[in-house]
Amino acid sequence: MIQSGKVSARELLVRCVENIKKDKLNSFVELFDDAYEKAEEADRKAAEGQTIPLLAGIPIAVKDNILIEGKKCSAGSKILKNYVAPYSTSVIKKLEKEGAVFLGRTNMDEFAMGSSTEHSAYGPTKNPHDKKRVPGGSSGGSAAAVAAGECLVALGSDTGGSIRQPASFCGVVGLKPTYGAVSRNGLIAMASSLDQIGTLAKTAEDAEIIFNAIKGRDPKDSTSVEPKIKNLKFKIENFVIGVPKEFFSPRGDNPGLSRSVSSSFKEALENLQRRGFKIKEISIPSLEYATEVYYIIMAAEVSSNLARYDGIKYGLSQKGKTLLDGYMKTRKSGFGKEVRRRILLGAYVLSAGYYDAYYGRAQKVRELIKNDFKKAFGEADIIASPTTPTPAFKIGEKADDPVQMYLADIFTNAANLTGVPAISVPCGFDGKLPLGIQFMAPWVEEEKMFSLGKFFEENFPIN
Amino acid sequence: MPKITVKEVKKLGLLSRVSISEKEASELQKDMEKILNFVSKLEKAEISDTICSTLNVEHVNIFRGDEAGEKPARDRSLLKQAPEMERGYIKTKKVL
Repeated sequence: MIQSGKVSARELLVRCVENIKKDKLNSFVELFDDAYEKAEEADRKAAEGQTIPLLAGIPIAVKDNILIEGKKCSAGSKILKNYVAPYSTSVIKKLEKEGAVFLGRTNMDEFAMGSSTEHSAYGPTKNPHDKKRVPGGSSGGSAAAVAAGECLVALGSDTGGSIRQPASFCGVVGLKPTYGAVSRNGLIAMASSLDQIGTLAKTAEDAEIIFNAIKGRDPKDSTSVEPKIKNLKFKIENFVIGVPKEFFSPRGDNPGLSRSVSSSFKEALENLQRRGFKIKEISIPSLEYATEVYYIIMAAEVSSNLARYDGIKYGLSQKGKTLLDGYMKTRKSGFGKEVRRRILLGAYVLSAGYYDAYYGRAQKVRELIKNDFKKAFGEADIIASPTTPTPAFKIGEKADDPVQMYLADIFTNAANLTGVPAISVPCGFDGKLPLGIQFMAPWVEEEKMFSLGKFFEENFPIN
Repeated sequence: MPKITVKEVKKLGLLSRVSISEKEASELQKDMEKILNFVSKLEKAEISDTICSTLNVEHVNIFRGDEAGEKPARDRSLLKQAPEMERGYIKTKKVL
């Protein structure tokens, strides 16, 4: 469209910025002034008849924990309020080559710790479908921005559901790629064995386009891999879709699941079945421990990753009488409550007396979950579940109860623990609140997930 | 018997280099107790013969050629963000 001159990149950008100003969702922490120059550059090249890259002029929003050289990047935290990124994330460099226009950085839970974007030092983001409710989190700003037409696609990060859960709450598509499929170089780390950069988009096709632009091995991220080309000549109509009985029982009642989530998920399965897909009840026994394992491993990694913020090298610095005093003051005033809570919890589960009981045990159960997933993918091509147990909750509703907040990620944690790719696709509404369905695929087989996602969108459109 | 005491919370604060007030210590004690009770479900998991692997995707060791790359210019821009500097070095209080 931009290539043919039907739409100008500048027009697209202006429309997005108008929506941002009109909606007042607090989805962006900062808008970048140089976005106009980049958009105009794409328009100029197109007008000159040059072939422009695929993403030229496309306004992309970037989560506030992904570095862009020369721009501030705060991870939603006071401790990095004035931090200026000294280099660009590998993912950003790839998108720049494709001509993408970064229009601003989006709000998030501090250091990506949260499921509601309420734990941001820059105030909560509102859900565009109901401003009294949360957009989910931690990539809540990115999800709300895509849903409200404030950008065309957005980058997010997903450590335990931080892309898929807000995508579900805001009625957009959220993709967490296979662990290692996309470089994390330049992503502000939260829990390194779980973190993954991914996308929020209007459609599964858009998510796929961005994924293809950012995937691949990067020498700067030793955990990244070049996906092996598999013989993915599959017919999606032959797919067996596994539904773990630990997540959902089509017959019985599902405590913890809201009725609307339960009925829309059931309807989605019935629709798929009618179109010839085989729906199979499978069992992943260790799945019942996923959220507990997640909260131990994540906290442990958080406590070690966030040790770098000391007020000496960069970021907020509070003077103290001694070196130790300075550390204590800086970290108390720089970190929010949830971050402090998780740092302390991490220190506890890693401490000599409790290591075996918590961290050591959690690592072993994580292995069980991985093994169970390997077995499950022997009998199913895709594993399906609701993305979240409820639709978007009210701002403040769970803010005082960490455990209730943690349960918002009950369906999404397992994909991070095992490393498999997962996508959330809109599948219905509870009143005006969107609901999502999650498809998980085997390691590095994102293509299966995209095919099913696209089929789902085309054949079962929601209003 | 509580799983964690206020005294332990304060100790964790010190170990984590986060100053914790009296009021916050008692709030954190309740929160952490709740979280520890929540995760105690793992005690039931049968893990006796489980051996952990560390990676989620099959990795092989990848060597890179011994080639000089571009010299990162970013070091200086990062250094500029240090709260205190002297002669190109980051300044701290006495460590020992």
